[in-house]
Amino acid sequence: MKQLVCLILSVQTLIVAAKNSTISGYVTDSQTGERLIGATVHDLHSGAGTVTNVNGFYSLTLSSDTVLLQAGFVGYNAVRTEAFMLQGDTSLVIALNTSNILQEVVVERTHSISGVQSVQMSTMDVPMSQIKGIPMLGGEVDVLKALQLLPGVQSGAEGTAGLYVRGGGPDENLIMLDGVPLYSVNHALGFFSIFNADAVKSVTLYEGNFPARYGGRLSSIVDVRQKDGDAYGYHGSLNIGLIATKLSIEGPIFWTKEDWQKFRNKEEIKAQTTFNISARRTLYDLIIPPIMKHLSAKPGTEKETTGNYWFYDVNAKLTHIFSDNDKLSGSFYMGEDHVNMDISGMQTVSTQMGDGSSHKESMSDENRLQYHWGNIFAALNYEHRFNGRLYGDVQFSYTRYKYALASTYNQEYEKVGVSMEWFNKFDSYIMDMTAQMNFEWRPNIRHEVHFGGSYAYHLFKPQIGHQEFSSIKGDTETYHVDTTFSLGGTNRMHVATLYIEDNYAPCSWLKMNIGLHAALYHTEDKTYPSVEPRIGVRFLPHRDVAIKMSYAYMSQYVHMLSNSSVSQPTDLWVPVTKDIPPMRSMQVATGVAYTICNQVELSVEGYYKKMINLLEYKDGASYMNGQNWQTQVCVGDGWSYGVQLLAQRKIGPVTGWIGYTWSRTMRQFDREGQVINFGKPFPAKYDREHDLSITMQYRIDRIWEVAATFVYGTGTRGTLGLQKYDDKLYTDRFDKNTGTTTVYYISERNNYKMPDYHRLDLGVTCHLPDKNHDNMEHMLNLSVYNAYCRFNPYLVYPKDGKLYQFSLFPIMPSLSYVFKF
Amino acid sequence: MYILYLLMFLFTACEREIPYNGDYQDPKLVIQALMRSGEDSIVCYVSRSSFFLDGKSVQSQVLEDVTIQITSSTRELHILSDKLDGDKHILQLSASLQAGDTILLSATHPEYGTAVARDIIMPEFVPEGISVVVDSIDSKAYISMLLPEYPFPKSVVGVYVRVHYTYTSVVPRYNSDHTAVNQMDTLVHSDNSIEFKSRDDIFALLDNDYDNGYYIGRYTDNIYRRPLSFHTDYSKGRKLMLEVDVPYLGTIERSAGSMYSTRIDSLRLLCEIHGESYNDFISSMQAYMVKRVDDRNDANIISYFSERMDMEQTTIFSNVENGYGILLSETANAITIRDWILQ
Repeated sequence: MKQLVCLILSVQTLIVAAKNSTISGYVTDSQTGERLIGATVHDLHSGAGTVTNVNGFYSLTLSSDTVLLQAGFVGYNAVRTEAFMLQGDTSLVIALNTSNILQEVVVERTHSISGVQSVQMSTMDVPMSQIKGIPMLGGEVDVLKALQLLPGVQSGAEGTAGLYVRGGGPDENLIMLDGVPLYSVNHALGFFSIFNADAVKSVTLYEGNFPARYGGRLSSIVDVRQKDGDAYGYHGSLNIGLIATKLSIEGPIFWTKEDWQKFRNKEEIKAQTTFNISARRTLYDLIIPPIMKHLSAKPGTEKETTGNYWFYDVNAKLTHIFSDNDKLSGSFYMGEDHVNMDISGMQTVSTQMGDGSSHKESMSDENRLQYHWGNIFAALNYEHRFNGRLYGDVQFSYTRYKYALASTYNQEYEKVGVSMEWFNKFDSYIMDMTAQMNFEWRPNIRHEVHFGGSYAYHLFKPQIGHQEFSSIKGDTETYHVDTTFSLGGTNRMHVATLYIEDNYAPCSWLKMNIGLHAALYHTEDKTYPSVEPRIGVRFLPHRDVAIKMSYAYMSQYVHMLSNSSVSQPTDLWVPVTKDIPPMRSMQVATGVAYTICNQVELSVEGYYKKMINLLEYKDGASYMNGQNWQTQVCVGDGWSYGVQLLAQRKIGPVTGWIGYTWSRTMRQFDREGQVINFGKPFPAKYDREHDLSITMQYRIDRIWEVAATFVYGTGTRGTLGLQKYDDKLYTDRFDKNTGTTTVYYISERNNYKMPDYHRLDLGVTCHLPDKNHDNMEHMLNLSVYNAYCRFNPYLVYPKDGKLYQFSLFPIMPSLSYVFKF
Repeated sequence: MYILYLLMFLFTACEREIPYNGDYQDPKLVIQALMRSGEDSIVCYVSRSSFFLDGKSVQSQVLEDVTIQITSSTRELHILSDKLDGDKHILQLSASLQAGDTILLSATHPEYGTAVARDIIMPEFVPEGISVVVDSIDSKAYISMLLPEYPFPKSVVGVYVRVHYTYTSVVPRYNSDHTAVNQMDTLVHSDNSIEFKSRDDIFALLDNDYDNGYYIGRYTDNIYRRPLSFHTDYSKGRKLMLEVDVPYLGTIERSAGSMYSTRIDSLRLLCEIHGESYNDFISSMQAYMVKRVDDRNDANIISYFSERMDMEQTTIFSNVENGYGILLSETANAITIRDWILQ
């Protein structure tokens, strides 16, 4: 009966749509003019509400005549308008003030749109203020590492920033910056991500129930948005830390002399154009070389080892607001990592003569290794508000990821003046060009429709090798040979997508998100279509309790081949081909969400995910052995299931969350000719049954702030041969030159569970306002990573009849200084 | 991994011994035996495994009191004598092994229980109409043949033809200023050049073998290999063609006027029939052996990183129940081809 009533209401709603009016506009930060993503706006009279989209835009279609609006966002004081009569479509910009977090928060018992009331489940929205307060390795705030502390998300190896979401691998996450997908988002083996927290405005993680506008990855969507920049004044910060030094500057650009004059006269004037630039660089190259040189010196030899590592990245954004209806923005990112290693020495060698005699001479050699890898991306985005109900944006973007590994070995015979040089280089390259359009349409009070499409051109050059050899006598090159080869070929792929989704609320206790994402992948004369339904349903038996269910079908057209849980620059991104099909997943989830006093959100979710066409390396495989990667992999299936608990508080002097996940993740490769582990199911490398994260930040007063994070997880999986015996047959018949072989019998892949992982991180921050300038602040942060010095395993291996573990980070204190202006 | 080596200087990393936190597995019997069609004896090694953290050498694990039994699914078969040489048992059988026999081999020890292995005797493989032509420009030899006409049993997974060739290279020697002092002989080259239009029936599994007394290199690393499956491919016809990379048969002039040359001395085909067990065992051991070579490096911390981060671990195939090892059945028919190229 209730369903029939809801249906009648919705039909009536459509009929009377013409009588409704729409309030739309933006929610902004009153001090900077920054548009806020995910801010709530609702009408206290009717109870209807909405949240701002990724451009800070909201639209609320109401049927009532009298409206009392309230807007709110984490870290800001809620704003309530006076009641007013709604006469037709209305445009309204709502500016919020940052809150005094020390005040005890009195939260109106209003209908919260996010969390419980939202139809969206499996979504985590962590405020940047919370992320910046979490103590991190080396004191370096990292967005992706903060996401690892959420339930359903696991990290790979110690200290790395890879995300393993609900049993999916690190390549199954669509990580976007301002709507542009990025590859390999890590510096330094994944110890730090490429996201500079000072440039980030918001980050949202979807673990399931993916909105139809997203596609191309199986396991998660990470939507990172950059700040536009302060429209009223110039601000910035200088951060000097153990890992890197960062400088951020944002501010307005005035185009007329009159505007500049007003600004100089300290009149309040909001610029139409803003900029935001953040740059970061490590200081390792100042520290490492002398230490390495000293430690590597061996007495009695002239062997010398030097090495260096450094990275940098730059984020920039330029925004121009033409009017309340039009906005143009350009985003840019560039970052690179560099590793250099040089081992040189001198030795005496014996050279055999043609007459059989030999003589000694000096030979110097040098082994140089150079790695560098990095991303570059640029995007141009134009937003237009057609009217209060229709909003759209169009974006053009370019992304390129490249790495190169080069080694040079040089030998020089002093006496005879002959030198020889071997040079090897290995490149991998990915380039994307994308155009996309997105629209939001709110025809009436019950429907919120999103639709749009995109086209992307992908160019993959996964394996390009170049080798050279030359020999020189005196000043004359006596021999030279070089060759360039491509093992993976050049793959071009075209991807076209269309989507439509509707957030439909037939009545107050029922809300649905029904969507369809359609994609077409075309490569190597083969086309793979994909039709992906997405459904989410929310029941609201009580205004503080929600029951949610969802189903999502996803596909993925790129794979990252990696031998280990450590992110390496040599991880290979490869596309689908005519022989390697797209990966697909089907995920169902159900859960309950509950809000306590509008301050703490509790949720329990269970999920099951089935994945097909996953790639894994064959036994003994490595793409570095000079073979096409397609011959090194097997295609198979996987499944994952689990239960997640989350208790989160975002407001007040004490914030943080407790997240726990119980899960299992399995793989099976039993297709003909593509068998791993003899076709039997085996645990995935990152199958970690228990995962607990507790993070808390407490702002004591205006000066002091403390934070703590505790993590516990079941050990990751590895493979050990538990029994050994001497081989008699194989060595004798096929490999005589290798002598007796001891076989470590491995009965199953990933059969060993490493010791459990746990650690405690602590941090204390001192905020000191500048005595001479009100708008300046000095911050000193002391953090201790792994406070009780737990030696967590990074690698486990047998040696000399014993089992050893290699641990990477013992207790690691760090100090950083931030100057804000 | 050099990056990790660098980061070690930045962070204080450490290696420490830890207790084993997994399940302990009891040692089991290890059977390693080879059977060939037409032979009336089987060579069988029986030893025991040991826990991977057991520091004792496994070579000392020669077992006494091992009882071996053999039965056949198709006829009466038993062991006449068991001649023991260390851990090597030479089992004399009451009859010759025949293609199609399913052999059950069990080894029993009072302490380690009974391990049982099972495999099918493979038939002989005798190709017909073998011919060889050489494309000296592309350094390839093409060997064509007809598969035997008799049907193969379903247990046959693949037919492998291994090309075994030996060749001699003349390498100049250097004097103290790195100029050559020896000249090499001049060769007369073949002008044969054949184009093959139809490749539908071709598969290539190529391998090299080593032979003492000659300088030998590897030239077939990049050949994609796949066993011939008679259930699907045999219906296409009997023609089989192999493409072999051979060393460049011409003369290469290197620096300072030194000359290199190569000649093929002999070519031999080893035609083998493999069952599924053989196929799985050999491929898993080949993968394992590649990784094992890295173990020969000094046991420093870098090699452990490179070992674990570069290649996947390998599960070794075993068809032994309640034990480890392998029972292999193979047939090999060696065909020597002479006078095939040079005048």
